[in-house]
Amino acid sequence: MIESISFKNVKPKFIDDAPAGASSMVWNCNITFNRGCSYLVEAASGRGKSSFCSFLYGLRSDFGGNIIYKHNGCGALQHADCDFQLLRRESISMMFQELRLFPELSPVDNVMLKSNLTGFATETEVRGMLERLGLAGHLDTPCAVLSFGQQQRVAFVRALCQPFDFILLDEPVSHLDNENAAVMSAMLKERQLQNGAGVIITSIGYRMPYLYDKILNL
Amino acid sequence: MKLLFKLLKQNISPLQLLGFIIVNFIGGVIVLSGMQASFDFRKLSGKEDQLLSGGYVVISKPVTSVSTVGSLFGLRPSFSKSEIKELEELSSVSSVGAFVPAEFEIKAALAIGAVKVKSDIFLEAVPDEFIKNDYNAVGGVHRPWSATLESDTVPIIIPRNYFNLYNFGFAASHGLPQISDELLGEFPIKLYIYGSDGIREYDAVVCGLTNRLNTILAPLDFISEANAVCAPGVESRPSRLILATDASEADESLFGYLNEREYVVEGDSSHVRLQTFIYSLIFVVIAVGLLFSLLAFSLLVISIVLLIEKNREKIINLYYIGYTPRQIAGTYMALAVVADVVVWVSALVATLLLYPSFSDIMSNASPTFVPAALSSVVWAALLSAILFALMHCAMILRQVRKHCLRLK
Repeated sequence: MIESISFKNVKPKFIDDAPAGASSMVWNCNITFNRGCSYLVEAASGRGKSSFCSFLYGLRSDFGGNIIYKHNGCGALQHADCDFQLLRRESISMMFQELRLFPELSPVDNVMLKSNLTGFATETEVRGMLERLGLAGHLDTPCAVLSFGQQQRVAFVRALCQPFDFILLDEPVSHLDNENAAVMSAMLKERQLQNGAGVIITSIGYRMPYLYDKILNL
Repeated sequence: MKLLFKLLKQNISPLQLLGFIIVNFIGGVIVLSGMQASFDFRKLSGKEDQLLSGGYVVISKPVTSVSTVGSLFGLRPSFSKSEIKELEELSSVSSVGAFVPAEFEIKAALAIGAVKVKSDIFLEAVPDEFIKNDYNAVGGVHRPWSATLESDTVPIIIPRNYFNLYNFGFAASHGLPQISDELLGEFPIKLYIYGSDGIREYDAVVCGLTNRLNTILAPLDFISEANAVCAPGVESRPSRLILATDASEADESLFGYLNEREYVVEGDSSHVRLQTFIYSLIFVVIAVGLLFSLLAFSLLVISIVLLIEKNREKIINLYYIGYTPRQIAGTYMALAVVADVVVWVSALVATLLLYPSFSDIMSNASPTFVPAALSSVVWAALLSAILFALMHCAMILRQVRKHCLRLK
């Protein structure tokens, strides 16, 4: 189980010489994200928000400094030593800004494709979650014909349908109305209370309504 | 797995898959049929040679007008010791044996029912190393290749054309029964040896037939002893030699040497060359089949690589949500394995279905044709399917990994 994720003087290589990092509360700083806490990472466009997610999720490693994953069984794991395929299945879930859904599959299939990896949720449970987010009429429609807001809700449910210690949501409500954002927030809170996960949400301006323990500027 | 296949099957080209299956099927049938033909031919060509160990060539010196005149004065063309030594030193010759002729008068008598035939014949012997020990003689009876003057029976090997002469000429015209290969050992032949001390009588047991030696062979110990007793003082000079060859029977350097020395290769030359030609033909057929299979193999590899390229984004997304390269590649690997197994099993079935026709043609061409076991072809098909599947899987996994690792 991942207890915390610490950024130790992490600095993306592409902003090495840029002054942007000077006022950041994340880049070139020592900051720890703990399980059970909620964080909002805010940034203007171009400040490396997606890079932050990619570094933490292990998709990229083009940064200086280090990221330490404190595991209660294996001790402190450095970013370079992590088996991210395992972490992505069991410890860290992510909702991508660009969603990364499979347009030819239905919302149910998209979620089940992820859920089947760990056998986390049954199809009935998945359908119930999607219906709660107002997708009852689109459960078996290919995602390609859904609006971006609808797809965002599918991607959110997919991120919930796996075991995790941390969940990372990259601009999860950028195309949602307040009502759907509130439902999403409630579902996330329920899940966080269930397993005591850490929640990290990024925003470019429009915040997801949530009770944050800490708000960080990137 | 079902959902993964539902996702990744997008962009599969049925035409490309069908192309692979058809081309590989044709290649597989050609390869397997060619292999079976080579096994059959090897069995057929080796059948008469089971009496004689290894590859061998029989040579003699040419009969010319001069030698004809010389022979009237007892000067038969023969091989000198130096010539034999030179032959022994050839790299492709493992040993040289001289034909030892019987230097005494021999008559053979055949009595079947009321018909009795008696004729002068001629016996020769070659060193025992050229004859397989305890071979399974005709009729399935083991008879040692050995006899003495005191023996009651003498094993002999006769040319198949003598046997055919009886079956299709003599027996037919005299109303006598034809004799099968299996009953050859029961052929009632009496041998009479005329020596200075009297006549000796033996039962000759035909132990085998040969297409390649135009002589009647008897054991060397028997001929040597009989020569010493029945024709004392007569010195035999080898007029024919038998060469055991290590290399291919069609070894061109050996035939080149024999031609250069103007030695005559008895009967075998055309046989060996025909055999070489047929083997070459089978080799070409198998090579063409392999080429088809190789093309089909490459076709499937290219199809799958293109499919992976087309599905690149899906593969990356699957990797991002936690699927391992092995899990992602599994779908394509399953597809390739099924295609390979289907193709090779179909090719095997087609080969087995076609085989009776081929077998009929061979049986008509050669009465002695006995089909070789089909198990080798079955194994070959299974091994090919496994080999193709393994190679396809390795390539697919490598390709998917390449895509995933490129992301880091």
